[in-house]
Amino acid sequence: MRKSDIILLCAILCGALLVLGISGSLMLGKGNEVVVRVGGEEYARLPLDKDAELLIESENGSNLLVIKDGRAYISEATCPDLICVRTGYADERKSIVCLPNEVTVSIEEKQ
Amino acid sequence: MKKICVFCLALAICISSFTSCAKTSMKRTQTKEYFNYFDTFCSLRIDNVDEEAFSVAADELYKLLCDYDALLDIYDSHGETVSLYDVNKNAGKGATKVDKRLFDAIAFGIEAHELTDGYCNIALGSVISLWHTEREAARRDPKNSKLPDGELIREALTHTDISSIILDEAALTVEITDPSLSLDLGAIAKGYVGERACELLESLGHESFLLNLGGNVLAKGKSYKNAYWSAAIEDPFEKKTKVELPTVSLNSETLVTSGSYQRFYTVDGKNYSHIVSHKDGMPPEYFVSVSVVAPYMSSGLADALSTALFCMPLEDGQALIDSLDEIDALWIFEDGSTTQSQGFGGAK
Repeated sequence: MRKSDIILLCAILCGALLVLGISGSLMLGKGNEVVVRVGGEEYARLPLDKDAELLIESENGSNLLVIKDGRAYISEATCPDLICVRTGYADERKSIVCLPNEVTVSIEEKQ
Repeated sequence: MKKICVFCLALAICISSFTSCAKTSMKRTQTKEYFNYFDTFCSLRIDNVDEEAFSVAADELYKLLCDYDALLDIYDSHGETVSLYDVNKNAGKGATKVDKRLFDAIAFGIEAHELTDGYCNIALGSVISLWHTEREAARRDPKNSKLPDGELIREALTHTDISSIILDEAALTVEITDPSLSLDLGAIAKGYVGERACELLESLGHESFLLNLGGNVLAKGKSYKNAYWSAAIEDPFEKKTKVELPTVSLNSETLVTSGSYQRFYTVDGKNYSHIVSHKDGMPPEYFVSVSVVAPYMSSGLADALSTALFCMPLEDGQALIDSLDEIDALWIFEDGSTTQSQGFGGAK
C-alpha cells in the first residue's frame, strides 16, 4: 500500500469511530425523566428538571402528578387509601404506585 | 485496484458502524408492569438485552404470575385448576389432588412454620378471614367499622394446627383433617413466587434482573450502570420526616418488608393491621415495619421471616436472625427509631 492509501484508510476509520462515539453518547443521554405508566403502558414522559403538573386520568380515577424543583410526587388522587400521596417523592430506587388506578410514576434516565 | 479495495474496506467499516448504531434493538433498560396479581403491583426490569428477549421474559413471567395467582387463590375456584380455595372447601372431607406447584408451595409453607417457630403459620386462615371480612366491610362503610367478635377469634384460633395438614408427595394430595381449618399462603406467597420467577428468568438465560412483587424485591446481577441494584425501604410515616432509612444495595439478594402502614383499617380512631398474631389472633403492635434481606433464592423464607419478626418482640426477633446465616433485618418503631442486625445494608 502506498502512504496515501494508508492516510485515506486512517481518515475513514477515524470518521467511523467519530460517528460511533457521537451516536453512542447521544444514546447515553443526560438527565432524568419522570415516566408515568397506566395499566402497564407508557402514558407520559416528562423532564424532571422542568416544573409541571399533569392530571393522570385512568379508568378508575385520577392522580395529580406534580414536578417541582427537580422532584416528582402525587399531590392528590381519587383512590380511597391515598397511599400514592403518602409515598412522597419518587426517585431512582423507588416508584410511586397507585394500585386502584393502576398508575405508576418512575424516575428513569433519558433514553 | 488496490486503492479501490482499501477504499471499499474503509467504507464497509464506516457503514457497518452506522448501521450497528441505528439498528440495534438492544435497549439500555426495559420495564414491564403487572397489575391484579396477588392483589398488588409487580414489575420486571432487565437492562442491556434486546427487545425480543425482554418480551419473551415478560410474557413468560406474566404466565407464571397468572398461574400462581390462580393456584394460591383462597377466594375463588378456577375451573379445572384446583386452587387453595378448593383445597380449603374440602377440609375434613379427605385428600385433594393438586398441581405440583401448589403442592410445593404448601410444603414450603409448612417448612416456613418450622423455621419461624410457628410465627408464620399458613394454617391461620380462619383467623385471618375474620379480619379480612371486617376490613372489607370498613372499606365500604368506614363509619361503622368494627373489630371481629372476640369469641369468634378465640374459636378460630383453635383451628390453626399445622399438623392437621397431611401431604402425600407420591400422590400429590393435600388433606386438611380439621374441617374448620383453612390455609392462607399470603404471608409467603410473594417471596415464594418470586423465587420461582427468578428460576424462570435464569432458565431463559438472564443473569441480571430486578423483580418487584408487591414490594418484595428480588435482584440479581447489575443494572446498566454496572452497579448492584438498589432498593429503598419505604418510610412508613406520613410526614416522611421521621426516620433515616438506609438504601439497600442488593447483590443477588432479596428485600422483603412486612408493615402495618398500608393495609389496615381504623376502628374508633385506632389502626388495625392486616397481619395477625397466631398467639392471640390480634394485630401485633411491636413495630410499624420489619424488613429482611436474604439471598434472592431465599425470598420465600425472607417473606416468612418478615411476618414472623413483625409478630414477636425485638429480642426474640434478633435471636432468630442471629441464628440464621446471610439473613439480616431492620425494625422500625412507632416513634421513628430503628434498629438493625449487624449485617444489614446489603452489598459489599
